[in-house]
Amino acid sequence: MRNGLNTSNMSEFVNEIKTNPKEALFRYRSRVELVTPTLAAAAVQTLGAGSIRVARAFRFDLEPNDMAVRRHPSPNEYLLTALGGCVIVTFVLGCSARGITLTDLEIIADARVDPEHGPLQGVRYAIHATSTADDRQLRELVEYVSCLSPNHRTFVDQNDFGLEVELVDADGKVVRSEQVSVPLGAVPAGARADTARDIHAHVKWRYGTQMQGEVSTTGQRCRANAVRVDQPKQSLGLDWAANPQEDLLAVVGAELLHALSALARSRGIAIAYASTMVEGSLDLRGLMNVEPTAPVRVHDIRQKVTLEADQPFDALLELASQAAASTVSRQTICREGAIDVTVVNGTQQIATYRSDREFTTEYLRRLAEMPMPHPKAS
Amino acid sequence: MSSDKKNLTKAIGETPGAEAKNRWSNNLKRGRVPGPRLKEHKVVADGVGPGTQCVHAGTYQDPRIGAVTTPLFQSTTFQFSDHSYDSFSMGTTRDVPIYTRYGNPNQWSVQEKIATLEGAASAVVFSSGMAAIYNALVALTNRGGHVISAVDLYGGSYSFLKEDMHQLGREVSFVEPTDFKAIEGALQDNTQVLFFETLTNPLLKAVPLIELGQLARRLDLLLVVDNTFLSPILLRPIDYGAHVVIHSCTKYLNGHSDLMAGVAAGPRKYMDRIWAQMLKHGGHLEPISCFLLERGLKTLELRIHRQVENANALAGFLTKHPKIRRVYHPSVAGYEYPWVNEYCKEGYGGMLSFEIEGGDEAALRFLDHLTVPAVATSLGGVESLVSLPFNTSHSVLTEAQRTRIGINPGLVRFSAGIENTADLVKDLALALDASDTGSPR
Repeated sequence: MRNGLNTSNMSEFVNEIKTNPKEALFRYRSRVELVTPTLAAAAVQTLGAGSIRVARAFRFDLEPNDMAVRRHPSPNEYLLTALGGCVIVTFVLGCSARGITLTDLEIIADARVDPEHGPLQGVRYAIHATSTADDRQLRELVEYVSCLSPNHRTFVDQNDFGLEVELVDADGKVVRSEQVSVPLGAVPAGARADTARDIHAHVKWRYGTQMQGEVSTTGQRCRANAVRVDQPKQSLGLDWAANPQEDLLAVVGAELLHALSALARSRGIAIAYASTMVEGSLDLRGLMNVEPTAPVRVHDIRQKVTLEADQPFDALLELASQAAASTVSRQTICREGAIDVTVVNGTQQIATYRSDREFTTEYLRRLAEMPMPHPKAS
Repeated sequence: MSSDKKNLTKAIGETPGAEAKNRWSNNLKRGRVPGPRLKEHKVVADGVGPGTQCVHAGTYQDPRIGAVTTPLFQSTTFQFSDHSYDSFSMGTTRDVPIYTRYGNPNQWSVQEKIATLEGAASAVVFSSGMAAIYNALVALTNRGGHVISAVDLYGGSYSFLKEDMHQLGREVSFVEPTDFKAIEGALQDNTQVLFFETLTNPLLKAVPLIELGQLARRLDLLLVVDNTFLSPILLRPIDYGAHVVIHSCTKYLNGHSDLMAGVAAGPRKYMDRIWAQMLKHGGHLEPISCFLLERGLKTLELRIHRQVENANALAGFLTKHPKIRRVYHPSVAGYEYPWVNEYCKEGYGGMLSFEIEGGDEAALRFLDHLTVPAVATSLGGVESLVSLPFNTSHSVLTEAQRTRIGINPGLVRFSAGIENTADLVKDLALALDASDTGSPR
């Protein structure tokens, strides 16, 4: 065991998916239910992990991004946690594969939510590592992480996913269902935050894939701002918390329900029941750099929202579509973006760079051209 | 460290090669290997018969002395070498002799033999069949998971699933194990494992194994089967889609009623998880027990065929006996689960059950008059064993509950040993004749 990870298990998995790609395909699902107009309860669903099912028993609550006083983290805060958590897991995998021993590792991630711009703005993180790696190794590792962390790439890459709207009656029976497009950029009044906010996530590595952190938003107070992240025990983790992809999908769900609730209220529409299921896939051949054509990011995202409301179905379709379009998470996932990365070795800042599509393309191109094995680090 | 210690034996398989020259995890070298085993452990050629596998697979071929059988490595700990130090950092401690709870050459010998017999890549031996079941089911499920199992499972397994699994955050649905539609109907989104016995205890119901294997593969479920009643000589469930096979080795595999042991066999991926669970929960098998189990296994094929012969003969005899209401055995006419013949072609093991006219009182008198079989619990030994479910394995149930699962008054469970068939038939005939007389203990 190095860094709390069983390197042998990782190696066996990597070699397994080289010849059996099905084992690399993971399908994550998070279901979110609107409990009150402002409280969304997320429940992580069974994970399809290659040829097995992995049960997940994680629940957490989320409250809207613009509440001045909250009892639970907001979707925006969790979005940053999902980014930081995934970057840490990817970094620990890389360190372990290279025989680097970590002492301390943490990520401080920041971003700004601006009502004039849809996605998270100015996303940046500083990765602080104390390890046996020298400056060159550390920088190289973080650059790899920028290219191979699924959630990092989900922030950077362009993506697209629609929304299925399902109307149910009081017994939960489906009355009608339809796929609706979500035009990004059209943020209606009532679903839009009034002021810009700075959000912050501080995620600390504990052991293996296990980490915990704290989140905050400038000008707001959150009574329980602790977050946990881990992987399933079948994926090198300890089953201690939801994983970063499950967090990301839960954020998409919770933010939609919050926006939908707010928009409905502003229009005088009563929603008797609202829940949403958000699914997304990972092809771990991307993360493990086994197959260059495999997508690294979370892909094949699907979202279904289930509503009970005494309203014409077309009105609900429009409501759901506009609410979805207003969400920061959807816009961050769907639009091409950039992340500013700072690398700190111990207490010394050793690098800073912008990770965007150009950086990723160029870095992966250079990697593909490099002779194997990589020259031994000094 | 001396060079001798550096060169102490290592298991097959590479280390992952986690080193600075790697670019990323895709450069890691180690793939899954069978075992664990050392180069001294004998691997028999593919295609050899089960009798040869029983005798030779896994034998530790002593390189210095030339011992024909596996020596006893009655040691809790092993000198560190470069391999053992590497194994700690690389996560290959299952493959290097370090500490007997982690692994021991005697465990690896017997594991290799059982894995070979079951057509599996790997196996983990335990201190009992229950230890194997506990560790396997906990390792292969997660909190929030769901298991489907049989309503008439062996009592020990049933108690664990009924009383403890929910405390570990797992749900269990119990269904009639021969009713495939009922099994399908119990499926949930969080179902992870189907856990069934290949032949049930004591009524010898056969599960629809082939359909279960197909269902498991189709829906990404793990099929875990307890194959204790049939042994790998008569059925290799992995050939029919099972992922993991479990045995109480206390029964047929050892076959001499002189040690307690269990085993799980299957792909190395799942066995590594089960082994890791065992490290935390306990239940490893001591070297001396491995030594005895390996010896017992050498005669497994011979014993099983004799036990099948005896069970078939007794079933045939009892079917015609006027004091027997019903015989539960796949060989008798009217057996309700004919699909057993699709996967069980050389016999149905040494177990049979039958109902005696006159109910439990008559059954108790019958036991009193037996002279060859031992009246005792357990099964699968060289000696015939006989017991009554109503006052042993199923005594916690009310009579109505027993009747509901098919355990009627007068039911006798019989484990045929390897005695001469004629002696067993004669003994049962005499005991039945005398069962009208005397009062039960």
